[in-house]
Amino acid sequence: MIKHILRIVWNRKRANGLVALEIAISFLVLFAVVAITVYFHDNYSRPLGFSYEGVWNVNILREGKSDDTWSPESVDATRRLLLAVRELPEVESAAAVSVPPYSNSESTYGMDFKGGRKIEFHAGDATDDFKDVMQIALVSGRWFSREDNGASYSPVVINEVFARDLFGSGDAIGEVIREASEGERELRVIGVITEFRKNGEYSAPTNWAFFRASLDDPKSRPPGNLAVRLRPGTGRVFEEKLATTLQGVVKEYSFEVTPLAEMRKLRLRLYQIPVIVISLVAAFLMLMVGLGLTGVLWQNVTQRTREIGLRRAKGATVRDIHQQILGELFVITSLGLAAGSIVAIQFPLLAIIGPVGASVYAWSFLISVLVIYALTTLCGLYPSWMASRIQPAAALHYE
Amino acid sequence: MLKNYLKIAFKVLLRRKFFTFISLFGVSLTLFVLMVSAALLDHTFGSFPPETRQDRTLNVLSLRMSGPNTIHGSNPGYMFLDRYVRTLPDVEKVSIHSEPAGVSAFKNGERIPLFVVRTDGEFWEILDFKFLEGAPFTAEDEKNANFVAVINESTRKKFFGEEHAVGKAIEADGQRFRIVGVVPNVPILRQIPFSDVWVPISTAKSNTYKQQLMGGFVGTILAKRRADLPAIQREFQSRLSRVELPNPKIYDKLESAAQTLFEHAESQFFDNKVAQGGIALLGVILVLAVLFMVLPAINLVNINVSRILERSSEIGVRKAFGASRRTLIGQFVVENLALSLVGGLLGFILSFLVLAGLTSSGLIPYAEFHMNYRIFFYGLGLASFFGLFSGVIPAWKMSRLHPVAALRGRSR
Repeated sequence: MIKHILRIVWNRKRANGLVALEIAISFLVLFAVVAITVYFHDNYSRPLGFSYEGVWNVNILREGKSDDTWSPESVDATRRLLLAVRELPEVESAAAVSVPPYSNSESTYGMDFKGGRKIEFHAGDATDDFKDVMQIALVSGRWFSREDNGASYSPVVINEVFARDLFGSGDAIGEVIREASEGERELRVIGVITEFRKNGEYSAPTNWAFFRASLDDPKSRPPGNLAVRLRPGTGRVFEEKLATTLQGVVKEYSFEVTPLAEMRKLRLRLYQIPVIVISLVAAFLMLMVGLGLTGVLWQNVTQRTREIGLRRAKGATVRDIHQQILGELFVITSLGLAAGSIVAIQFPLLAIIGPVGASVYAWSFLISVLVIYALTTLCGLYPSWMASRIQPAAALHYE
Repeated sequence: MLKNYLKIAFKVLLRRKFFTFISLFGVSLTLFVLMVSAALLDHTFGSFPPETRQDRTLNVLSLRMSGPNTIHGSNPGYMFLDRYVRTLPDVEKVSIHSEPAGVSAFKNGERIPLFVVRTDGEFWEILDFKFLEGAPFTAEDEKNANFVAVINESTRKKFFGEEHAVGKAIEADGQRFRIVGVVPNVPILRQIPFSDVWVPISTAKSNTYKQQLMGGFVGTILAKRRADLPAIQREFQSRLSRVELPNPKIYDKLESAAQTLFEHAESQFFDNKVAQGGIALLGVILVLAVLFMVLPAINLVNINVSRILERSSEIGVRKAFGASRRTLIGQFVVENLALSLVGGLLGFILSFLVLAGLTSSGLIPYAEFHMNYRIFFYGLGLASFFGLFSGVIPAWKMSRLHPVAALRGRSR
């Protein structure tokens, strides 16, 4: 059966080749779009590591912040701001942090790990209360606390991804990330948190670390933002009161107050818009391919009226005819898909796609293949129905 | 003769409405997507007023400090631009201006959000703003920290309705400015000239910006001639190594570039790893455009190739009645061109409507989208090429057949 269909397909190789080529390219387009969507969906379903609801961010605009310089005065000012915020009755808890969730700020570190391995990670400075304000879940060890005052090491809290990257399945607590060197203390892991995906739900899980910011130490770098958890039921009107309070504490600074929920909306949109645009373009391409394919198959059936009529006259049932038309289409689609897959497989082989996991890749592959088969079958239904309606008598006296 | 061909073409197109629809759909929608993308690119990078001298303008938009362990990037600070960019030799003018900052203004107790840019007198000489009323503020105003402001049309409307604004006062971010000029709205995607209100830098609330290496500002350099750009870029790079870093214990290297807007987009796109003067980004855009058009092209070829077989008997009849091969080819050329042109026309109307809709929707503030006719004709040319290539070649082959064979429909 298959062998026979293959021969029929081969007989019309030029026309069928074009159709197969079209299917191969459609598959690649679809695969790219599906892979991106599956990738984001996969990220979305992973733990975020913190809770943003009811938390506001205060961006402190102070001198030297953009140069990454600071003075003992600015450390003290930040400490006083935090104290003043905590006094407010609407505030449940507050902490200072250098890179707030959903913000644009980014701080990337690269250093040599044991055995000369290069490690890269994103990090932020946070005060002792930050874990409770953001409701970050600890896996093991502890978060920063007064215990760390005057310690001989710099305490670090890392996420699980980073812990696994550095120490495999072993216990990370007490391990040293970087040895002490020229005036800098060693970086010692004191806790592991589940996750902290600063860029939000759609971002990929990356290596993350928190350093301790201590506002009692005039030499420590003061974080530039406050994270403020409000009591439930506090509305946007509180914004003015908060801003006035802050301005009353330090006159020389400016403050930007934004609920994290709003920063989140903007950040998510940043990921969604490109996906929506390419999905629309891909949908348009698929629609066009579908229409074109229907046209080609229809034409194909009209041309082969005599052949199909002859088969009917020789006793082929309606089912046989359906089987032939759809079978041919299936073979052509499979050829196109095979060609497309050969190209698609190059991407992980050449490591172009980077961090996309094997399961994301496999799922997108499967979904795209199924969609293409569904699409071509759908396109073949009408022409195949037309073919099955051909009357042997009418077809045979065609000439 | 041509009229006859067109008549036949029209009849043929009507006979198979489904096929005609597919072809028209493909051609017009492909052109439409192409036109909208081109309009967006043009809108962001094209040479429109007030940026009429873009071909000899460079911008310093970002600065990165890096050390053995960490990298810190943002836009440049005032001190850096003032000391190392404003003093560049052999340039016509240099302007320093802040990034647009969102502030609140109040009118009768109602909050109106505004973007404010703090800038200098040269800004108005580098950019070619057409003043609706009044005039720009000057370098003198900047020096004396005069509280003067230039506002855009939409801000004038929000505060003063249809009345003249020059001479009146506007309060923004808790400061009071006297309006000296009104300019047309600039779209938000035009990075350099976009804002609602422009005021002198020296009116800033505190003076700390004067000591900052990084943060908040952009430098714009106008060269005397386009040919001077590479020399200016080289001089800028050599100056970078002389910059004193504020925190040498953490950061020991400074990176930046004086770039055209397109070059800047390129370094952003490639995460600062590629600097090919915009060619790499242009390459990416072209490859994407070609990839996008491959499918519609193959689709068109497919439809045409399978359709032409249907018409072998028609060719046979015409040959039998003495039509020369030339006449036959002429007929098919006219037919395919007519189809492409109708598709092009539909695509044109569609793009026009959607772009006009986008402009008036206010989805992107102050955006004005224009049709890029050059891109349109390229697209139409390609559509016609594939139409001809796939419609005429099979017809030409068939026209070589003996009329009898053609009449029987045995084309192969």
